Amino acid sequence: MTPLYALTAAELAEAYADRSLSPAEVVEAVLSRVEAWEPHANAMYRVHGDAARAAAAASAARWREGRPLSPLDGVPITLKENLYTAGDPAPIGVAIGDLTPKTEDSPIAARAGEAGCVLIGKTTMPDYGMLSSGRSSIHGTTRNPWNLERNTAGSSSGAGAAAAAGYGPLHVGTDIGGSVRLPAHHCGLFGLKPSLGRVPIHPPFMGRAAGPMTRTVRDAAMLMNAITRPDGRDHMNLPYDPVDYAAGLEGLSARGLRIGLIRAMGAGLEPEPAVVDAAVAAAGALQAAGAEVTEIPSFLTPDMLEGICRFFEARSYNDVMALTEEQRGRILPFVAEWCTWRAGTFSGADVMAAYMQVVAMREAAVQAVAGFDFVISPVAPIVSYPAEAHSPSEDPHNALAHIAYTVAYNFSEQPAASVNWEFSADGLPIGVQLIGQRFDDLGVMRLARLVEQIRPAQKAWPEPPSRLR
Amino acid sequence: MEFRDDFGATGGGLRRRALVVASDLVAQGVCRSALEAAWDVEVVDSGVAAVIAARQSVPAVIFMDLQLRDVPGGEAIGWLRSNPGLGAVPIVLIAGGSEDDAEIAAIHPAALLRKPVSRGAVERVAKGLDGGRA
Repeated sequence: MTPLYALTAAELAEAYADRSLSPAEVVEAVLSRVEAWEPHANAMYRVHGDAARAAAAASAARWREGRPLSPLDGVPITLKENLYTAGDPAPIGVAIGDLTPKTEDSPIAARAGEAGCVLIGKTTMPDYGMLSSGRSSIHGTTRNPWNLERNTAGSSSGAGAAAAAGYGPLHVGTDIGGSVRLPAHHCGLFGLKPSLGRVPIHPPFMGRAAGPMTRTVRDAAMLMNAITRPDGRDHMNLPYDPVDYAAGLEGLSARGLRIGLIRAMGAGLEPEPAVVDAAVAAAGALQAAGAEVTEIPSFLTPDMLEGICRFFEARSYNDVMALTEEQRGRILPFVAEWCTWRAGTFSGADVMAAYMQVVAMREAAVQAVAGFDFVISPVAPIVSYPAEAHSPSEDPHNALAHIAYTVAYNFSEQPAASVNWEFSADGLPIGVQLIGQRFDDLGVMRLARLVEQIRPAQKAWPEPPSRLR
Repeated sequence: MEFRDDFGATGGGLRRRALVVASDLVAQGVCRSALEAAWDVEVVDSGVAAVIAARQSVPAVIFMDLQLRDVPGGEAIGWLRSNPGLGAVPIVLIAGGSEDDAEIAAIHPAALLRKPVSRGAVERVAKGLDGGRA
């Protein structure tokens, strides 16, 4: 029998509706799971034990009275700490971050609350969200539950660890270069970076999106129904689209689908054979099911990747140089070095040239997908890297060489997801990336659901070390 | 005083705010003209605009057309009711006649207006909401 903490949101909704389970007992089970895992995984910045119990009791009353707020009423959720919640500080992963409690909920927190979700707590992230790693100057090191010596990746590191460890079914991260998809890949999850503006966030920024990180595609779809609702604070949002992601999820046939396959990006880190093999195998399975698969070359050039790296460096340089020397000394040295080693020498023309490379990358990404229904590729060039590393290269002068597969779709505003495909010989997850046409979020989720059904058998989710003795 | 009402005239109190949500221009116009003497009236034409406006500033009452151009009025009401700050705001339904009684009853509106909406009906409903003072 599936433990309560591991039940999907869909299963919980059914059990709450037929009164076979109460949100109170589920939340208690999740809090126990958090307690068992946290000394090892360190996924949480804050755990809302008492508030979660109170919210679960209120939800239980609503279900008893037959007036749940939504199918997600009473379903546990975690939010990345940079998704503001009233009463919680949001230091953005930095030791010198603002520890003043926020006074209002961010759009996603508000929508989750309106849907009746029970907030278990806030998850960790690295400094400024600018590392694809579980390292943070305020949160310490978040570790991958599949192997505690390995990295979760990031920047939604805590969300990735929390989902893999079974801190309930629903988790939300943010992604500006791969920060939902990369930890989803390393932690064996489904992670969706929606189209820019599909999920209202605050503050919005070019390329920045928030999306669900879940064990199943269906749970992500249920959450999308809630968090895509409109919020006037996001001045970059898309017009609200009343799509029922959960209802529309099933039934995609591979027959006739036009799938593009990209093996290597030709920029950044050279891909390991295992990640390419996974993407090829996923495309092959779809082809066997009737899809038309065409290998396509990379659209990304080294200059484009260099352009976005310079753009990020220049942005963070301004933030870091606004700090006092003492403050700079308290952020991760890797991050300080990454954004200051050359960015101070960039001229206005240099920054504009970098920006134009981002524009070119955006155009190239859209064109690459234009002839297909979907494109498949690896999510990351590597299967895994050490938990203590700041990036796969561990080189602050080349810190983002591993985001070549993911970053373009942030700036092309296309939906892209990571769904686990298989496991490496040493038991680590390997995801594949599914990219859709601009604004076809439901299409990407439908394809992910299809991939979920045709992929190899999956391993059991990891257990905390004490349970293994 | 241009916008004097019972509250403003006697105690300097704030005028209460009514949010009118209707895609139908006739319903918008009738509600505005019937309410604006006594209420601060904001008119929006979609369910999305309604939830955004209501979250920004909680109205004292919402007049909601069930037939909106973007989402069903019932869905927009669900969004409003699930917000802890908005759940208690009375909702006056504006129904076109095609909605069934069960759908309307399930919403538990504070009052029901049938189209074509008349100025007198809106005034009577508003007066009732305002304890007879508006």
